[in-house]
Amino acid sequence: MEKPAIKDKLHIFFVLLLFASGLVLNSFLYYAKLRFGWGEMLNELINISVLSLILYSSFKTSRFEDISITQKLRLSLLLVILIYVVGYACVATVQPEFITPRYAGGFVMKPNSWAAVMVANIIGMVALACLCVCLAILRSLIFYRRKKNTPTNFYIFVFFGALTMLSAAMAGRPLKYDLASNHVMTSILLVVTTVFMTINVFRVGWITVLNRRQKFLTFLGGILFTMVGAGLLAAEVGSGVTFADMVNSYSLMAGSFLFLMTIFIFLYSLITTINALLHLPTAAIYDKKVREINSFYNLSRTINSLFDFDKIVTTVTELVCDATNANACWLEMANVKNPTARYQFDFVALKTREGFTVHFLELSSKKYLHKDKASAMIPSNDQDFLSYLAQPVESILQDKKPVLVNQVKRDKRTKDLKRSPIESLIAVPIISYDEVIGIIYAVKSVQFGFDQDDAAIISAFANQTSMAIENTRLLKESLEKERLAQELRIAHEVQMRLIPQEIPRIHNSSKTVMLDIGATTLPASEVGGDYYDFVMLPDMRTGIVVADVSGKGTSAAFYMAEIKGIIQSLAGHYPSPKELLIAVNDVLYCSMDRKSFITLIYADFNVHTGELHFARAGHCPLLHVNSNEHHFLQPSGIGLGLDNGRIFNETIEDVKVKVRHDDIFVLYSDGLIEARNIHGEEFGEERLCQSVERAREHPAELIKESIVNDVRMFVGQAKAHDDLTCVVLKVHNMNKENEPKTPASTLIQKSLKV
Amino acid sequence: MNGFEVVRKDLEDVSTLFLKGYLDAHTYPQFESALQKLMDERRFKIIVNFSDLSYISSAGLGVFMGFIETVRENAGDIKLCAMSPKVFKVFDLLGFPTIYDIVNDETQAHQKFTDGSRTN
Repeated sequence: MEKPAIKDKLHIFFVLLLFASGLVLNSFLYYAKLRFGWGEMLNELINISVLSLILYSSFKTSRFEDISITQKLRLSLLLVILIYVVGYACVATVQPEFITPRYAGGFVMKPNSWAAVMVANIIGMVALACLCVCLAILRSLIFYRRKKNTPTNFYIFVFFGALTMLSAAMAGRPLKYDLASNHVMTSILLVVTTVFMTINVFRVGWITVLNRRQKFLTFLGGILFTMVGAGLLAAEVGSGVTFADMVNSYSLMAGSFLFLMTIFIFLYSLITTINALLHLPTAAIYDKKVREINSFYNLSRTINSLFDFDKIVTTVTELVCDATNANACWLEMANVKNPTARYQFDFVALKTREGFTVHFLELSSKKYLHKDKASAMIPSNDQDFLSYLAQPVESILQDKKPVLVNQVKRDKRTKDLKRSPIESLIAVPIISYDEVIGIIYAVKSVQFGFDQDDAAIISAFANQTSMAIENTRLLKESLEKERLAQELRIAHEVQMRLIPQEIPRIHNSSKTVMLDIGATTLPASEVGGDYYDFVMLPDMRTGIVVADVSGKGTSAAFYMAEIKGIIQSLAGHYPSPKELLIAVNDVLYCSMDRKSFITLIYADFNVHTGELHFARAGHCPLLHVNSNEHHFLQPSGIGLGLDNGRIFNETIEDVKVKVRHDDIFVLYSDGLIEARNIHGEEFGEERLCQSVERAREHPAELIKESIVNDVRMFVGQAKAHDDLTCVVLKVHNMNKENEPKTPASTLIQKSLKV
Repeated sequence: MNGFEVVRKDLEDVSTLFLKGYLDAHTYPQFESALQKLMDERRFKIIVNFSDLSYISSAGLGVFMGFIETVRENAGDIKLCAMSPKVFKVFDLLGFPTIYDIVNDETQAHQKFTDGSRTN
């Protein structure tokens, strides 16, 4: 910023220097009575330099871009008035004398005293400087909303102006519109200049952006400017001497500049005045539109970043007041919890009748008022203020269109509002998904305060409000979703901890009987309903549980935790799986909701006796594979939690299997058998048997892997729709004495009611 | 993808619900609301026809349990009929045949109701 300042100072210094030298030169010429052409030439050279320097300086810098249009107008008017003030002051002080000497061809007046020389010089210099700045200001006005040709037109005008001035100075005759008195060349140039000047003076587009008051002032100022401009040419300052005469006596160059500028200023201010006058009738509407656009812009800019309902309401009410000049504006929102409730409310006490909240903004305070504070704002005799609005509200709810009442006290719809200061009222619905979710009210204390444009702009606000409210709702929902997902993650973690972290090693003291176990569960979703567990029991017994809780998600995880607790604590107290499950059902039935149930299979393996003892509560059968055959063991029994015990206790069956070396048992959930591929086929029991057969020589862990892999291969790209659980038990029995005489299968068949 | 449909037919005081497609964790609310409507209308003699049902999951089974108590308290019942072997297997596994009357076709189910009301 320092550099241009120094440059400016340098420019001013040179201008002053040139002026001083001009003064000295002219004094010298006067006293020396020298009438040589070279003296005049030198004087003109000085003036050309001054003109170029000031124009260069003021055209180049962007100082006039920063100041407002009204400031520009004021500045140029002041500059012109300054010429007058300086001129009259000088003339009044020294009373200069001018004559029209023959030596100058009879065209130019010349000072007849040294004082007159000084006066002519000072006025000439001031006029030159001031008009240069004026030209720069006019240039910036002309360049307002510039088009491609604007600068070209302007500089052509300046160019021809300069030529005209030069021509006039060369001819030694002051510039006039009296074409005969000019040199022919000068006259032609003057006509061309005038044509381009005329093109430029119509560029007054800046008038439109002024507000009504400014337009009016521009109109008045324009008249003054036109007169002042014309006066520079015509007004007699002293005895028969005009400004133009004096400046011409100083320098023909400066005189021509004064002449052209005066014409330019005159024409420009004339056009401006006429334009301002033409704009005056529409100024109010224009102002209103600008206000609407501004407030709408403000709304859309701010409202999208608002996720707080109170702030949205405050913003909207304030902007509606701004845009429509309403005295008050308030919002009424339908209660989300009770959307069918009627739009009826008690405004006065703002007790908020059932189903409603009312937000009120009073323009004078510009404050958003919460329910309790607002009561003070309402005159006490307006107890039923808002119930008076019932009729407009009804019609809004029906038609979903704005209601406009311009003579509140005469209108049937609002006849109850007689005692209030409200004279006109507008109510606009806020619509979201074709439902009226609220109403924006604006009121004025004058009749005919609102028109269709106001209805349109408030409707636009209502749309924005609806969007903002919708955004707020979506944000809340997504936060809620995030929270639920978080809860599910926690439930999943809890569930994963309920499942045994390691598989127990089960064998008798001599290690002649061992139970090799492989187990896994694969939840289909974050939280599944499948579960398996091992229970260490006295007398070398081990309990093995596989269960499936109906339903999924958090509730399934809770039931799972419950059943784990029940089985772990009860298992040791009951001698058989049947008795245990009867006890479990008793406890569960009381705590489960009627739609939920648990299917479960419980096996009790005794390494001491080499017996597997199990019962089934509505769960998938137990697969038993031995050296040459396989059986699905399905004793009767209904699911847990379905029945209070009457049916459950009767149906549940106990099965005892005497195990042999290399016997394999598979406990699984329905997710395994019912796993579907993309064609909708189920994995089925047949494929399960095949998987086991293929891997039967391997340890239990590998048999389990074989089953799971086969299921995965079978399912392929299809989406898993249920949890999959699989527990494989493989018996190592080196104790040949315990081998049963009869094959296991026959033994089982006997114990089953198939 | 796996569509599900419930169609209801009323014959005197007995209402029949025809189930079609897949009854699983995604579609059971539909079935539930159909039953809830019957409860609201105080129609407690209900036949569920499974002839067009291709799959039922444990969540679908839960729906029956949610209503059976209310139905029976009001001297009504839910009779199940025309199950495919596959669907029956699921019911059987869970032990439903001991809790519900499961019959071969709708006529038998109606017969059960008329027999029942005569004995009452």
